Amino acid sequence: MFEIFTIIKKDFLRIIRSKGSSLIIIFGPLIIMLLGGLAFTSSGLYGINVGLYEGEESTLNDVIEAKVIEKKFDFTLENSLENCKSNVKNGITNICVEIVKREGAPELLEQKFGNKVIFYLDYSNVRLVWAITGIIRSVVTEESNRISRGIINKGVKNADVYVNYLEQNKEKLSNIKRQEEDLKSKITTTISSIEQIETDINKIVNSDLANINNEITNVKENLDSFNTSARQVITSLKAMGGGPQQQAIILEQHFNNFYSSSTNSLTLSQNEISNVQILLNSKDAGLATIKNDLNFVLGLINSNIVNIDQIQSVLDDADKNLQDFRNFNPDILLQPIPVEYKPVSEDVGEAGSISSSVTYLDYLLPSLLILVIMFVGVLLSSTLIVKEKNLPVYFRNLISPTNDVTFAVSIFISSLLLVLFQTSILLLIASLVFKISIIERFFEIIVLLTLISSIFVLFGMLIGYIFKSEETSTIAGVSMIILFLLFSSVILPIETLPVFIGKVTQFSPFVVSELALRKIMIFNLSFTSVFGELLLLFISIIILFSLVIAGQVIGRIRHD
Amino acid sequence: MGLILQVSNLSKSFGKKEVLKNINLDIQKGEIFGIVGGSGVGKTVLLKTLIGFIKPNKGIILYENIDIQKRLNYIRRIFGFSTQEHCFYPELSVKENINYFGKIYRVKNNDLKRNSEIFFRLLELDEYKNIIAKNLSGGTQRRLDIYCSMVHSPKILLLDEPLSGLDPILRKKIINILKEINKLGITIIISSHYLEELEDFCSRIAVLNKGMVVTCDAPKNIIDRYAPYTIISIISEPGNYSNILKVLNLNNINLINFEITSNGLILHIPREIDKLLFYRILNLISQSGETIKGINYNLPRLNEIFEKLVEH
Repeated sequence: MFEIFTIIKKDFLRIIRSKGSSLIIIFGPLIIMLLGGLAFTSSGLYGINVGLYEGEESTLNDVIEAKVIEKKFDFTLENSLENCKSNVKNGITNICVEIVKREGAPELLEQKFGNKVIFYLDYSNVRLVWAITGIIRSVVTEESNRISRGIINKGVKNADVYVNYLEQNKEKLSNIKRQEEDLKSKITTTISSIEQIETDINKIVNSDLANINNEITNVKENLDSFNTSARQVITSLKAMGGGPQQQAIILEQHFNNFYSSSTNSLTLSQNEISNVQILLNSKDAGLATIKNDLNFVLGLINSNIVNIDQIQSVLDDADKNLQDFRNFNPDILLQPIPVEYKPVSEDVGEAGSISSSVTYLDYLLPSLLILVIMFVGVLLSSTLIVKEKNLPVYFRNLISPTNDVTFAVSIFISSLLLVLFQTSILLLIASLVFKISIIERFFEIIVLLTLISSIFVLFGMLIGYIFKSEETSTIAGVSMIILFLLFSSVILPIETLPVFIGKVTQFSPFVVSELALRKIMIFNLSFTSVFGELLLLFISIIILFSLVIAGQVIGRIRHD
Repeated sequence: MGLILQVSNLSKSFGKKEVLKNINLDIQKGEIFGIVGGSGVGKTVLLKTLIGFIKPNKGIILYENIDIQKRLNYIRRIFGFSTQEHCFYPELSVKENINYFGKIYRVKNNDLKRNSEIFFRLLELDEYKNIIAKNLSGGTQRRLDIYCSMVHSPKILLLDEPLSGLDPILRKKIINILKEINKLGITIIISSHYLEELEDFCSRIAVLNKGMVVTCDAPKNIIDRYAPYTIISIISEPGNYSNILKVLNLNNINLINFEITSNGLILHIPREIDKLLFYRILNLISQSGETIKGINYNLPRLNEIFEKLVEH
């Protein structure tokens, strides 16, 4: 156990006695933080040079020029598009803006849209491209909104005219509808009357006249029956002869007269009834035709009313919409769904427009710390080990009774302390010079930084034990760092990577460390919120330490 | 004395290259044992195998009947090892280096303090205690390295080419220090190219060639076995050495070897009859018309037979 302190003391003495090493350990982070701090204690973009080529005569260039100057950017008026693009390629300007004629430009509300703006960007400068595009687009959008606002205002004025026109026509339509409904009412009454007449006629024809006819038929049958009876009586009377016979003959004459006149009368009556029925039926048919015609007209009127209702509904909607449109704020029309960007952290300003109290350094500090830890941790520990391995004295350590794990732990602690010392300098300057608050989560930050440093120190140790020469270990260390940077959000967001690689990258110690440190430093979250990341870091440390011991054993065998 | 280290049938290969072949050595407690051999014959590998750092493919090394491969942690406290290069931290002072190695060899503070009084004086490092190691001279660095290798008071001290890169005076100084260390009861195993120094210094020497022990004995015994002659160096005038050789040949002088150099004539004559023969040779040279200006009579040295040994 005491050997560990002796070895650590030896490592520190060796570093301190090497002037270059001690200077770089103390002043390295000091310089990094001071330069980084001075460079990033801002919240805007500076030194942006905008090249503008006016391919088409327009007033737009004056507007863009004014806006660009207003944003304190440099402005270059280019004489050709080629020059404009060439200057971007050569880094003289950051963006080339071309104003061209808009083919088939639409004409809306007497406003001509004759120009189009094209941005030419250097996409190799990925991060800057998005920053510049955002700002230059905002410049053009401002002008674009101004034009749109004018169009909308004009539209609102026109809407007033349309609303009045609609109101008048709606009234006319209401009158028509009213008249149509009167007509409908009258026709309906008429149809009802006709139907009543039809019912009456039907009753007369089919009930009254039929009954009369039946009655007549009954009378006729009774008459016939009476006739038969009377004939028998007469015949009987005749058979009696004499007076009765005479009486019978007279009776027969009277009876015949009566019978024939009655029968004729009845038959005539029935014929008349039939004629009346035929007449009434023909009237009824005429009435049905009239009723059908009236119903047809009624149908048309109903249809008209439905149409009028529909038209009225449409006009009402149009009227309402126009009323709403008239009452609209043009800004609402320009941006119907307002979008607002707000920082997820409450302590800092809005991310879209960083407040003056928050600088890029606030956001960059976690990444900056991890970058320094990664570089120092990997390179320092690997160099310490390789340098030691290449010293003849390494052999004496190997043949000593002190075991390999003790040496590994000692070098780990030495490197860790040096990395933490450098990190402390960074934090101290960030806190004192650049007023970045770290006190609130000081304990969490220190614990997390210790874990992160441990990981990268162990990576460096692994490299140190695997490679023999200082050159190869440095190349391996730098390559490893480049890989970590490449598969992180430092160069491009990991979301731009293919899904599988992106998922694997999420387990990268750099990504995990950055995420955890950002949560604690920027969002002021507690340890419970970074439990997953802490667990991953712990597992990584255990795996890496095992690998380091394995690497050391392999190194010992190779040393033989 | 008693046996402290016993090496039996030791072989070690690196890939297909067999570096050590069937080595057998017995090292006595308290002796100074030399290992000599040309570059790349396996001296360093043998030393590293003796301390258990390199695992042999075959054979066994016993320290006081303990198999060192089975008790490595214990063995590491028994052996001290000083390599060809200086095994200390150049950025640390002499004292800091000693304290560091004392700690990693788990020496108690009291023991370290007590030993340091002895060793600082013995190794003449007293005045350099607070000097940064890299600022020391070559000889002092070598002494510091030896101290670092015995900071834990080992029973056996192995030194791999401790004299290389030092001038003769420093070599002598180091040898004297090692003799003093040996007097403390520490067995010393030393490998070196400087056979002359080893000849006087070591009680026994093993000559290593192509991974094998060619011979292992006291230096005198080796010389007697491989160079049983006396060397006579003659400078005469007018210096017609061919004529001298002819005269000696005509008189049936039994020469083992001869050599004409720019500095004179060198003759190897059998040792058991050397005195009589020596005077006879002198007479014959005088009779041949040569005036002897200088004459040197020496027994052969180990380095003179070394080539012969490794060719053997």
